[in-house]
Amino acid sequence: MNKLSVKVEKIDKNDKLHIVTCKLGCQRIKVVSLELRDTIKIGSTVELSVKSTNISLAKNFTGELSIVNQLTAKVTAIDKGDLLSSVQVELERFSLECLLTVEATLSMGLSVGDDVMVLIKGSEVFVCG
Amino acid sequence: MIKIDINKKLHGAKGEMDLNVNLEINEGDFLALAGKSGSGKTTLLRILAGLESSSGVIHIGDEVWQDEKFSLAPQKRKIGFVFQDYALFPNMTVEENLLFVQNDKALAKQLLEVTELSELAKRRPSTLSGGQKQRVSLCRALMNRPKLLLMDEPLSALDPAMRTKLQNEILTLHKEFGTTTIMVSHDPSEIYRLSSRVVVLEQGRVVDDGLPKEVLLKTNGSQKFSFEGELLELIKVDVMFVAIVAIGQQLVEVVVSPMEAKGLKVGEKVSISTKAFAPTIV
Repeated sequence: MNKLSVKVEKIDKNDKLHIVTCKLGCQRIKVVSLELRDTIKIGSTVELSVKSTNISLAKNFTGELSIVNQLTAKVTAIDKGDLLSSVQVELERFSLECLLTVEATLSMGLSVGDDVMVLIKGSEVFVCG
Repeated sequence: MIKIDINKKLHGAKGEMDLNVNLEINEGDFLALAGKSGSGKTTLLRILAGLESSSGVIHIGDEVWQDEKFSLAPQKRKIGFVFQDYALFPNMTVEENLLFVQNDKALAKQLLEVTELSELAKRRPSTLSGGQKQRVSLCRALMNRPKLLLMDEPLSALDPAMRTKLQNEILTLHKEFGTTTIMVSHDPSEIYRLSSRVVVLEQGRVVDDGLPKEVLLKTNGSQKFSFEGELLELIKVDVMFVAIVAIGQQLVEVVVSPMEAKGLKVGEKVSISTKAFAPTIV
């Protein structure tokens, strides 16, 4: 499972809804969540995760996107199946696995060593139990 | 081929009910019989065993066990029956319980070996655990080399670890002896692991019949992760809503967009589903 150890920097709250901004190395990752455990407060270290099917990658991307998490990373491994590829990237000091279609992997010309942008919607990131 | 086409009027909790079952079962099949209590599962097993009368026919291969004018006595039907409550003879040892059915020492030895009961052969049932007792009754049911093995919720009185162990032994015995088996079960994991076919009874009728995965997997379109629940509350949060839904013994929360919320009413049965790609498993 993808795991990111991060430090909580800011918590925005409206009733049951929260957006938690966390520091991940020198980048930031945001989590959109319902109720939070009370151990999650500013300054605390938490473990985040995201399902590998919920991660997208972009290369040489310019433009505006609504996706809150746009993180820079480097491709470290690509394992191509018939239809899907498992792509590993290094994000800060963490390794993340992303499942993409082989078609996307090929059309992006993705290869090991590429700099990529990791795209994850805030609602797809969760705090580990 | 086993051919069952029987009919019997039952007086169930909801008044009169017609048990009407027409099935063809291939020899060597492991068939799970599922359905709510009172749907006629146990009665069907008892009819097959000859313990209850019914109209219709029961053919086991080229043997006739029942037709319109004839019914073979229960003790003449080559059947093994495993009950939930073991039903062992308390005054006999494990071995004697087996040999009582058929004085075949070699078969008794083989069965006790497969189920790792050899060391308990001289013990009486009262000194055995529930799991051990059920293994003995399973062995006993196979002593007359039955054409049909009937099991009525054989594992439901056992704890989960013992259930898994016995499921494995049932599988081993089924592979070894190839006995055509009908097992009543409510447990989806048990049905999935053991059976090659599931028949679901409802009010005395077959309402579903197929491969365990096809019958048991609840889907909603292409969404393979699907549960039925009751919508308990719809709470407005920011621009969206949070739905509180009861599923089985548990409550879950689901985020709902304003447009989606319009179609929902508190108290209604709802289906919660997502694609197999989304859930996390640990």
